[in-house]
Amino acid sequence: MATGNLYELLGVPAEATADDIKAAYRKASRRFHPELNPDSAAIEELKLVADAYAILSDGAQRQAYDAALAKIGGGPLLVSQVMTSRAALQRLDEPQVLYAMVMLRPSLTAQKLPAPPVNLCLVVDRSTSMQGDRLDRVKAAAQTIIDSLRENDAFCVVSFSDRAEVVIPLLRGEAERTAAKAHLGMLTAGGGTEMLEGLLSGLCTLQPHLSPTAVNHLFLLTDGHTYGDEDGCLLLAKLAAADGITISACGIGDEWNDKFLDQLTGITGGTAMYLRSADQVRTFIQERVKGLGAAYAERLRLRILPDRDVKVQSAFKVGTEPMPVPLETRPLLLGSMPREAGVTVLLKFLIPPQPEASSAPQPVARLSAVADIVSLGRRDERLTLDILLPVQAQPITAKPPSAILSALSHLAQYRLQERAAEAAADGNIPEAIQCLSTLGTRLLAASETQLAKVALAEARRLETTQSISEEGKKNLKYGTRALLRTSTAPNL
Amino acid sequence: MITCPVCHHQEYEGELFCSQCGAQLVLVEDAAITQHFPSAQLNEAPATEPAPPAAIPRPPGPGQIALSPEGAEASIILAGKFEYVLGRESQSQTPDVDLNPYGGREKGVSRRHASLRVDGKQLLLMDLGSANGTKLNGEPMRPREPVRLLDGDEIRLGKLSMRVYFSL
Repeated sequence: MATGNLYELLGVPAEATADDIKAAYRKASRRFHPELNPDSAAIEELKLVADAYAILSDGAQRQAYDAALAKIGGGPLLVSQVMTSRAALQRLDEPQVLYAMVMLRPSLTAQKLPAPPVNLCLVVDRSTSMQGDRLDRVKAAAQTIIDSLRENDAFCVVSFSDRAEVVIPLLRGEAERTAAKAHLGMLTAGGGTEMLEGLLSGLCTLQPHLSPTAVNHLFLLTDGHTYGDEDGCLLLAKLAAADGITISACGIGDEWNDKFLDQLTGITGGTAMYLRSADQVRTFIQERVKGLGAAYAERLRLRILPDRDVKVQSAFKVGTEPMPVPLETRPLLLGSMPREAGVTVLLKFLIPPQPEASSAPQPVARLSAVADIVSLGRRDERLTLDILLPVQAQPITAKPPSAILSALSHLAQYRLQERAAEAAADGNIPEAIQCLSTLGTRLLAASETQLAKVALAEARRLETTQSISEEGKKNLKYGTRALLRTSTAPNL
Repeated sequence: MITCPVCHHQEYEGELFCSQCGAQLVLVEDAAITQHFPSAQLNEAPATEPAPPAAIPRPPGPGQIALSPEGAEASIILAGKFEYVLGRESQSQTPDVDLNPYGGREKGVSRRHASLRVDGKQLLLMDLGSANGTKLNGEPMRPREPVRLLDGDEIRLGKLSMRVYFSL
């Protein structure tokens, strides 16, 4: 259920003055303060009230909120658009493949919307290899984050090597900024990479501040492998996702485990990214944090209910941040929806044999999307849509929509890279060489000369050294993945 | 099931790209991708007469055809088949002769531009309905009408010209 209106949460009419709102907030925060109200639901309510106040107490934010409400009226907050690879199924006594590109986006576009409150925890690897430039730039980025915190934002920093330390316990608003920055200065490199310790400590620090109407985010920065505690980390990520926390990660340099970080972040609907060198770290972190405050919705989940004998074979998020979506987690977690764009997922269905033609549309699957509209303080906003297609007797000759073709052509490249890496890891060198050479040719044909060179260089490297370089592998993986972003549906 | 034209892997109906080799399985209109030139631009005489090939092509051996694109250092030797498609390699198609390395894309060569067919002792050139047309010794050819070539003829695909040498 939607939590409804921010004014109702504070118990004031929509035309209340700024002073009324302030007074109402004071009253409500006493009413629901855990020390004054023993009920277990009180703390939850207090957070909702605080998030509502964060928007309504700021003149510009309140104006944006009012305008947005007026514009939507009672209408939906999420809208969708679906494109399928074929306009009809084909009458066929064998299975057939159907692709559906599902675009979910805000119902309000080109409208100024309030910026949601952000609860952010930065978890920083301070192992010996982070020494120097890497750690310095992370610190510099953290300082900028501190300077840009708004009234209701919360920020904490945890570092880890062999153990975890809370560097900045929790910073809310403008209080104690100088002290927090001084704490950052004491962050020094040394030791190993025990990621589980860091994640655990980060999640614990963030935990008391989670809110269903805020952006709750953990940002992990690392440059190394964690050994032996991967399963523990994945389990923690699952718990984090259940609590509404999204984890994203940034791997610096070449010596980190991309497969593991992809998995860890994917479980929560977040993404892992690759930074080749330290000089990009600062701008990168700042951009990411700016992105968090520009969210329209968080915790976007997509439930796919296939009709009888239809199978969902794969899901790939193609926009705005391309990443494979694990099918094991149901509903699919798609992370954050930016205000200016939407989220696009490409689904692959395997349709059972269709013995009969039918002009009446046949159901393929029902999709339900649910999200917390953090920029308008509404929870669990829902949208339902059905994929329905007629079944035609003649072979289908119409060209698939170009957005689907283009996304799939990039996805085919991504898959080639993936197969090459797997084959190389299994010691199947000829197969890996084959995949990389094919990938190189396809990338050349698509005028992606830089990436093509990397693919062909790695193919040659495999021939001589029987192994693939970490740098080349990551370049190809994150490079081909980024190509998908350029292919996101043009009519969004 | 459908079969990938490149690697012969079997895929379900409705699949758009081969899961093995990544080749595109549906054809997209040629003209949609080939760069088009206004006809006036195609008809204008080349800035300079096509320079004689940088390297004089080796007289091809018996049964061989040599294509010598302008500006190319070595000629393309063809042998062993009765028909060769000249064009550009792309995700969905692999012509017998890929002219991309000779600037085919920039010069408006279609993915399936023209074919050369060996007919006894004769060599026939046919335009395959290309976007920018084919010329033989400066004369535009009609699409899909084969014309007999003579040893040393100049052919022009879009804006890419080359000489054809053969001994059959």
